[in-house]
Amino acid sequence: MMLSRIADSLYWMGRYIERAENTCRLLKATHEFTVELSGLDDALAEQEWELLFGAPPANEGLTLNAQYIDSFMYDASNPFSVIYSIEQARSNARSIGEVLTREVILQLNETYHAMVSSRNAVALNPARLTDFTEATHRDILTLLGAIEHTLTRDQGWTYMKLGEAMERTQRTLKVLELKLPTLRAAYKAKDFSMTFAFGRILLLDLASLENYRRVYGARLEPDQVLRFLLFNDQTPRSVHSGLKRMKAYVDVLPSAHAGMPTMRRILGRKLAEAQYDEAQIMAMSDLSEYTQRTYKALLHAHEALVKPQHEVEE
Amino acid sequence: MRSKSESQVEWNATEQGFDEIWLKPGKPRKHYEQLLKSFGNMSPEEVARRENLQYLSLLNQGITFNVYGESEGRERVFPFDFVPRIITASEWDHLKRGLTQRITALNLFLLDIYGEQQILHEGIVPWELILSRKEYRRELRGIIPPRKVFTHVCGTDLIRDGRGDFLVLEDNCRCPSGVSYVVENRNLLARTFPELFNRYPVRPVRDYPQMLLDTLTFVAPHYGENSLAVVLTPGSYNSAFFEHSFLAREMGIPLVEGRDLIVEDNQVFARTTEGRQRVSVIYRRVDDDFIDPVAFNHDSTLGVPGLLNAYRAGTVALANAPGAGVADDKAVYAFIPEIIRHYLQEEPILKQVTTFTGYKPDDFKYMVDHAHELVIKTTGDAGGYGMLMGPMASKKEVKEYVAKMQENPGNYVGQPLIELSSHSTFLNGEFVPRRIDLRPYILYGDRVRILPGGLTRVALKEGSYVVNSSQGGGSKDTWVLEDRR
Repeated sequence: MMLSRIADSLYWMGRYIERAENTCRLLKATHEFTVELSGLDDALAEQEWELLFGAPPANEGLTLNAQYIDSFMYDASNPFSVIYSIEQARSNARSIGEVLTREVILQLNETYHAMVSSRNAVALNPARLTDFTEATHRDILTLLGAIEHTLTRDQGWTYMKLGEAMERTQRTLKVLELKLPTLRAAYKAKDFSMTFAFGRILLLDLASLENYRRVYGARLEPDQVLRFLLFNDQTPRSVHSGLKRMKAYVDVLPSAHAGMPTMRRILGRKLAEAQYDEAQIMAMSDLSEYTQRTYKALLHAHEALVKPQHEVEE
Repeated sequence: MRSKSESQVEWNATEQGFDEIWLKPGKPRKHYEQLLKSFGNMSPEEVARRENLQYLSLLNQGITFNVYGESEGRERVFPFDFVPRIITASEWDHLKRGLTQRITALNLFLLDIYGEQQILHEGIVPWELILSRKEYRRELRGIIPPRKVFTHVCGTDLIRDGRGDFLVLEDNCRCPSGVSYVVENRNLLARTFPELFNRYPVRPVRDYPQMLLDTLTFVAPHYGENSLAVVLTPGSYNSAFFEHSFLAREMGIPLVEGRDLIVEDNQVFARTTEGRQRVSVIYRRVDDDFIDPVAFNHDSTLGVPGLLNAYRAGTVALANAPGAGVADDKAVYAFIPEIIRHYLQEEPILKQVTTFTGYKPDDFKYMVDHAHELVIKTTGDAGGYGMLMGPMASKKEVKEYVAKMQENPGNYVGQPLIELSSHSTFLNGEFVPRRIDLRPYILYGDRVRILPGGLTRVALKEGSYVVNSSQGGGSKDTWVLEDRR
């Protein structure tokens, strides 16, 4: 038994912590990639940032990389920044502290306070931005460890993990949708070095490079990369894996929530599609149609859970 | 006055009032000797290092409170001083007897004024005083709470006069806060200064949540038959939210907001992921005015519509009971010794501060004429708000305050300024005397349970008498020693 409001807060807390981790990782990966790329092709490096993070934030006096990292790490008015997500997760955690463990609360607060201190340090010395991004990423991973190892596997935990899996799967679909065209274009142009570079950064963006190598080795074929990120059900950030986790979570949650049947139905359909239609999907001329369709379906599932039922349109 | 004593860091004794540690400069009271020895083994650098660890620990654990009206960030760490206040077994025994007597009388008084009103008929407490209190809820007359308990939790503020005698300053019968800091202060001190505990038999405080849960479930109708005990909070913006969350977590029961509860057929239910779940007792940390918009403040969004009807129907217990606040009204306080004599036929064990009540014309005249000598408070406020510290106030402040008093004399009480006792407190690298009080927590259920010690609050500003957290106060761990004779 759990209060509906608390279940909702835990779901959002799971989403925000996952979002913070994703953003941190994407910033690190894009920074490393563009540092190398900028010597070769400045425009391409800029494009790589814009692809994921939009137009450059106006912050004179900083390099392009520092502008993006500063804005997406520390700008609390930027709803996509790490500090914004941590603040939101913390705000959710504050209102439901009684269902969390001391370890989780402690690590969440430490992560936040460390970010506030590092934001002040960065203002004095922007060269330390990347060090602090690295440190924050480690703090968030420690937080995820505290969640994993101290919370009871009850409904609360399931709601939090459902939020995490939803955020993660939607992020994978969005990154694939944004990055597929450049990867495909490089492959079509037979620019194998760029194909490798784009395939590698795509896997790094989704924390899947090592996992991919264990399955397919070092060779980065675009189709294999896509197949891996879409359909491998063992790597934690693939779409299939995310759908499988979400379906398992909603199956054990109580049915009293009005949106639960809708959510189960959507997730069931999408999981069946990922399990049985892999060949047809991979044969599609435009894979982004699949990623967009799936993203939209997950959005409906999310809304079924968090919005009053009369506001949800399927 | 400075004392080197055992410590490498200087200690200063107070020159005014009762000093809790020092009998005279250089000569500590017996029960503090071992403590001073322990501090004597630490260098100033080591003490400062541990003090910093404490601050970080409070911040990272989110042991904070919110200050109303502050724009910069809403969380603030409640300052903690690591020099514990020590109460001997015999001192505590006296306090415990006095507090038990007091809560028993207060509960009988509430039962009476919401029932037969004998004490009013007999003229021991004036009718007009009770009926003019806004905390007296006429609509609740005749409603007897489950198990006849009104004041499940009471926080009674105690001070020590110049001779070291404990005096009751006020009772808090509504939603007394601060108990979470008692438990967290102990946890913190045990972690950062473990060696201090080696030489003392200190009574534990960590079982308070269990004591509270026992008290709550005692009064809960049908508790355990698929029904819940819950803590009701106004929400995360409330100044005491940390405590609400702490108590719910430590008791293992849900922390709910008004919107989580509904009333149907005079039964209270919680909205849960598995549908509605019946609630049989609510430890509410929401004031009377806000608990039910149907019965009290119609604009309240913090409460539960229909809650009072469920309470009337006897399907749910509310702790503390609605209307209990009248017992801690500052004007009613003046009558507590008479109330004790009336119900228990005993002399009050604990003394209290002489109080002038504004509703008596003679008293009011005295208050106006002597405002510059008195501490004057509004009867309904808490937390140090709405108070005049006459001896510290400027002539202009006194004049303005007196003008305000004229608008509603019955709303004010005056007390002589009592020199609070002082206790050494570590500030800016030295041990300096600062004024303190004590708030023990008393639970009234199947029996009276009192948490050993309570919250020692300390006025951190030099010369200040105000110990409230919202006005720059801090706190200390309070040790009650076991009697090992």
